[in-house]
Amino acid sequence: MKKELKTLALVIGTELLKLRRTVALWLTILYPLGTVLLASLFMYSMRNNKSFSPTATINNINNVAAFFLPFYVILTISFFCQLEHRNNLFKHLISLPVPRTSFFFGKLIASLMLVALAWLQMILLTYLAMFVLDLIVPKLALIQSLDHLYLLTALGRTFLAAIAMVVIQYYLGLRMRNVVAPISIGTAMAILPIAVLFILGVTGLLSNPRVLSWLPLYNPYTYPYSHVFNIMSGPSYELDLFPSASLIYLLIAVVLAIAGSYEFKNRNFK
Amino acid sequence: MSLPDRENIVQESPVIQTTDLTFAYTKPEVLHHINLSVPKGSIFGFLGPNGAGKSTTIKALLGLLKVKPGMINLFGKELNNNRLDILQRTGATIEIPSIYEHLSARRNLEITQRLRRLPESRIGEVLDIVGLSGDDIKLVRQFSTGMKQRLGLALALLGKPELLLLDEPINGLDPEGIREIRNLLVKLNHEEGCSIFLSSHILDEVEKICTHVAVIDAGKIIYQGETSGIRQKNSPGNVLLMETSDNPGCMKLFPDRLAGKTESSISFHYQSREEISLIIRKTIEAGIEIYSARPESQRLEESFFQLLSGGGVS
Repeated sequence: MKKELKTLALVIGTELLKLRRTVALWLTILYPLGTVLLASLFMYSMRNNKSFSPTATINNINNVAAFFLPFYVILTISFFCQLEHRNNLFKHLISLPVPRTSFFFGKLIASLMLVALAWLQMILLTYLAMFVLDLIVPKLALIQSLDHLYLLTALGRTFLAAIAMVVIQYYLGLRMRNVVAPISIGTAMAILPIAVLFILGVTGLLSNPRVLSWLPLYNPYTYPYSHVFNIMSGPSYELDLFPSASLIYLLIAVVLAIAGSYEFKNRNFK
Repeated sequence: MSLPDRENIVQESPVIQTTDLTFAYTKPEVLHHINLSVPKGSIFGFLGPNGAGKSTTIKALLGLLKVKPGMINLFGKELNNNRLDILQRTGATIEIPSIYEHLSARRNLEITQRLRRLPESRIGEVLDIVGLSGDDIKLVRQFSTGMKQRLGLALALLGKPELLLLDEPINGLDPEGIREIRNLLVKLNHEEGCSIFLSSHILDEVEKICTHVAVIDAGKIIYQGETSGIRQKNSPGNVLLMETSDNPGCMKLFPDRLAGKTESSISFHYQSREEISLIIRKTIEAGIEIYSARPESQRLEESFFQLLSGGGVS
């Protein structure tokens, strides 16, 4: 077991080595930066609004983060997996004296680490944004009245909600040679439920979108959106880090990862 | 660099042995009951036209394909049950050099070095061997095709393999690059005792370095054995090519030996070196001047095409 863990650590280390100058790494840097910047500009424009508060700032950043999260995951994981499809690299890796399952889980863990890195940056940049907003508009006093736990929980549960999506996108990325295919599938999965809501609203069949707020809940690609609906629907100080749906999605992610590793272990690399 | 005498290196115990190796992506089968036996210490050329099954065979030997039915033994061990141990002793290039183009040569080697748990000093050694020491921090996307090919070979050599499986290792190389790789492979084989299994379309090169060859066509092995054997078995006999001052007159001297004629030359069959001497002596005695006389044995290329056209041995 110790040997297997060492091998896994080796694979994770080499996966991180490969990240230099990749689209995946750039997206991981730009996604939190863009999200916080966008939300901060919006909050700055709302500085004189009476409802302005640190919680509103966090919710705002969280909403923007949740909206872009599926697209960040789809693109980052697909491009990260695409590295191995170029120049027969998968065949080279599989012909090294390392178990196939170690490759599968090593790269999966590295993918999850990328998403975790984005989350960590999101938190740090949120603090930085609040600090800068306080400097520009001292009366806001955002840092002083900030609920740190709420910040961690709100952003944390949004990112934890994405784990099943990461695993599915990772498997699609490993399975499909052409990067367009996993990106297209992932994007369709992320957009379709929202498009259904939008079309129903435009055609007048649905007067209140909250009626169908459960719709994103049953799709791993839109599940992070469901938190946004929840936050928008009322006071949010009672946020759970792990709502029951997240636990179910986590379980699904584990099952999918095990099934994926079994398929990967027995796959023919043509 | 002259070819070393490898007779003492080649040991008859097979480093690769396949039994009824059969594989199909979909029907029909790409590999059809392949029985390969690659002697330890040999440089084994694997020849065949495009789509014959060369790359598929190499992938099967590396465990990239799940072969059913059939058995693969490398180093005397069954592949499926000893995959990691076997791969530890094997280096390979498959189809094209497997390299991350957004990274430097050194970083590419570092990834494989770490996964193989090798000392970092090994990176410098293989860079020296393939002549890329000065370009180690350059991004691979700036490399020429030949440099990429050499980096691919460096990756294969990193683990000091006892067996090298090389799929088209000299594709895309210029003549100088081909010569360097040829010398390197011979050196590895001669000095390190590394067995080499290589597929190639460049028959001249295979002929120059390989001690053994196998020919595969439509997924079936149609010849395997020593390189000299393929020529002997398919040769209609050795031929003496001559240019003389009177070619028609010379033809009349040996009408039953005539093998062919062109505008400027004629050729005669011969069985032994003494017969070459006899032909030359009689020509001179007949008062005909000889401008050139060159014994020619059948080349591998000719034997290869004869085999593919169905005129060969099994």
